[in-house]
Amino acid sequence: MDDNSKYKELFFEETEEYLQLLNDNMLRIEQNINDISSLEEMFRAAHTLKGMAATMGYKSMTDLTHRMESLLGLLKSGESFEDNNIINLIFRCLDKLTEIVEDLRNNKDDTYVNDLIEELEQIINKDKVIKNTKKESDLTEFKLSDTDENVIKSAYEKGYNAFVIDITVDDGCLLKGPRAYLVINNLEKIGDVIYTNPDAQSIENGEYDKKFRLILLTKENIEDIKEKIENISEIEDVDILEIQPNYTSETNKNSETAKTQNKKDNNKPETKLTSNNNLNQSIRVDIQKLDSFMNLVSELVIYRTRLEDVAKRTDISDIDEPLSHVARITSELQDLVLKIRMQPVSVVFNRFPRMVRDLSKELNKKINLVIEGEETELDRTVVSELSEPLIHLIRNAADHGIEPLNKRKALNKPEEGIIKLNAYQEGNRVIIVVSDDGGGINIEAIKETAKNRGINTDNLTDEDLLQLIFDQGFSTAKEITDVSGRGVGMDVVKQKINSLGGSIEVISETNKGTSFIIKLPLTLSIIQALLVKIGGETFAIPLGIIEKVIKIKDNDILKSQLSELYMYREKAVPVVRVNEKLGLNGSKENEHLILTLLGDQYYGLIVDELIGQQEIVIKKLNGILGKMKEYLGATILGNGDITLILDVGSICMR
Amino acid sequence: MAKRVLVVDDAIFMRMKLKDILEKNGFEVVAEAQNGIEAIEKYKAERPDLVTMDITMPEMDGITALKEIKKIDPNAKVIMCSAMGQQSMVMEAIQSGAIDFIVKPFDVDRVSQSLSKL
Repeated sequence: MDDNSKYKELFFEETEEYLQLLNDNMLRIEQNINDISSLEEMFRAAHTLKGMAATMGYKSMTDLTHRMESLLGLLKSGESFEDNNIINLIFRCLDKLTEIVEDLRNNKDDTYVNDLIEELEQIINKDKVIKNTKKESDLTEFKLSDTDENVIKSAYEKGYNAFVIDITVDDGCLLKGPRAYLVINNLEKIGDVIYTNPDAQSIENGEYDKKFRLILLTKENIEDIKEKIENISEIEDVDILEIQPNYTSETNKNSETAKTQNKKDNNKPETKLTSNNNLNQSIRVDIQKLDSFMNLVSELVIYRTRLEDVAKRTDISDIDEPLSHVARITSELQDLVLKIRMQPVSVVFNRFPRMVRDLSKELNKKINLVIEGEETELDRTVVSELSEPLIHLIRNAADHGIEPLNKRKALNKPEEGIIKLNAYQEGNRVIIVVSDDGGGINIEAIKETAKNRGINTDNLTDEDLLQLIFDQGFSTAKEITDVSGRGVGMDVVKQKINSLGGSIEVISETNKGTSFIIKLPLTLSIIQALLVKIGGETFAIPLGIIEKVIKIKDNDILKSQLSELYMYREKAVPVVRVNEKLGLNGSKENEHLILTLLGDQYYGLIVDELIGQQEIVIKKLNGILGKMKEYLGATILGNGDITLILDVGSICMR
Repeated sequence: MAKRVLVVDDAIFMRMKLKDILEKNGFEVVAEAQNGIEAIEKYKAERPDLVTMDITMPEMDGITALKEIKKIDPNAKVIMCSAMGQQSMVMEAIQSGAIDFIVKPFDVDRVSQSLSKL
């Protein structure tokens, strides 16, 4: 056996893609049982997986995918789905395949598949049994479509005879497609082939067992036709029956009037699988290599900025031109590296439709999952860590959030609960919102649980109480369901998100619903920033969230009892004095207002002075420094100084 | 009188094997060619009764050579020698007038059977 280990990674990658495709298609078919093209895609995917598994020598997977291919083949030819029994069976097969792949990754190839295979065989062979008993009367009992009958009738009127011919090829025939094609080609020299079974494309692909059938219109007689076919090599048997003019038949829903004349075009119609193949035109790169690459590029940016600084100060004009090229090239390098590391969140989101479907069946609720912004991109390490927390949040929404059917009806809510998953970019962050239109988080239950755990809830607002759910062991679910409620969830979720450099908040309203808002950094990024002076210190503000920079005078700001406001386009924008938030003394000389947009809310930040725009590399702060909410990180400026980068969101919301 | 055959294949070994099978079946190999261009030249020179044509060859492949030979002589009898996985090329050959095809590696009996039907 060949050493297949070098193909393993590629095998797993491709298999995952096909599994995703199978799941997506099955979900589609569940919504629309007549979706033939999705069914055909599934058939091809199962076929390919079978081939791949066989090549790698993975027995369980080969056996399972082989049966799946057979079943899908039957369904493709019109076998019924029997009211969801088969749909559920296929979903179970897909789950089993996922299990097999997991095992294979851990070098185990002994996943138990026998029960599932037995079930599949029962359905596949049931059909075969019926077909076998039909064998003897094969030739006299086939069915023609109405169109075929008409063609035959009008041919008779012109003096042609119609023959149905069954041709069996040799056992050892290797290229069955071309062999059948040769037969048909020869027959077309003496007449017209108006019908083939299977269809023309399948025959040309050799997708028949040993026998194929056709109907020939010709003026030749039966003996000559037989002789002509028998004269072709690798033909084992020829059975011809003449169709009488008064032959009556029932319409066969499966028959095709495949005209086999135009066989020049062997192109299959474009399928989604070919676009899937484009995904394979990629190479796999060790993440560590990518990380090193990233670091090197970021250092390059820092030193390029320093070179620019030196050039400005020392005024060597010769250096300007080459330096501007270096600047341009490093910018392009940056963009490229960032793009390489980015992945759309759909990579994580795409397993959720299936999960929600299973959950809604398990919990006996009607739940619809709406996904928006799945093309939003994030650094790939962040993306891969997201899936566990999101799974937990969605499970919670389904289990605790969405109320049971009768309760929703009693509240006059639509029967179908909605869980919404929304991702969008905001400045240099990505926001992911998991929301549901369910019953909201039960504040009273939280109070109860808090009291039971010895927490004094007297001075806590509702919002404070909500935050308690992120505490360890805090679950208010009375029963621990299979799905959730073990009380180990929300704190782990918060920890994971924090470890990614992000934050999570919860908003909830009784009987209306709950939203979890996750904010994540885009990347360990290189960004454009605005350098400002506040309280004598230099800070950086990410350019992405800045709408406008305005030089202001004191009376531009409207003061009310509790706050200061700035009028922008007839809207009152809250004003934030950053120096106060940072505990610094401001200077009023050259005040500027930086109008920032966070989500859909404007804020006006007051800073002492503007320094200028610059490209910076965000270096995250570790340890105690990292806990300071006001800062996203720090950066090294061109002159070697270290500057803190403001987390405007945190500053404005506090 | 024995039928005269032109054997076309870029591999000497294949030509040898095929020649043996042909001679066992009473054919006479009158010429050999190692690519499509030579095949056309030898065809014009010898006008054989039958040609066995390999598909993949340098300089000019078997399908192109088949088409050219058919232009010279529409009644030329050409058998294609193909490998597994060359379905579409075989079909193109059939469309262009090949009368039969045999699949490598050659099975002596199957080739003989094919030849006997000519």
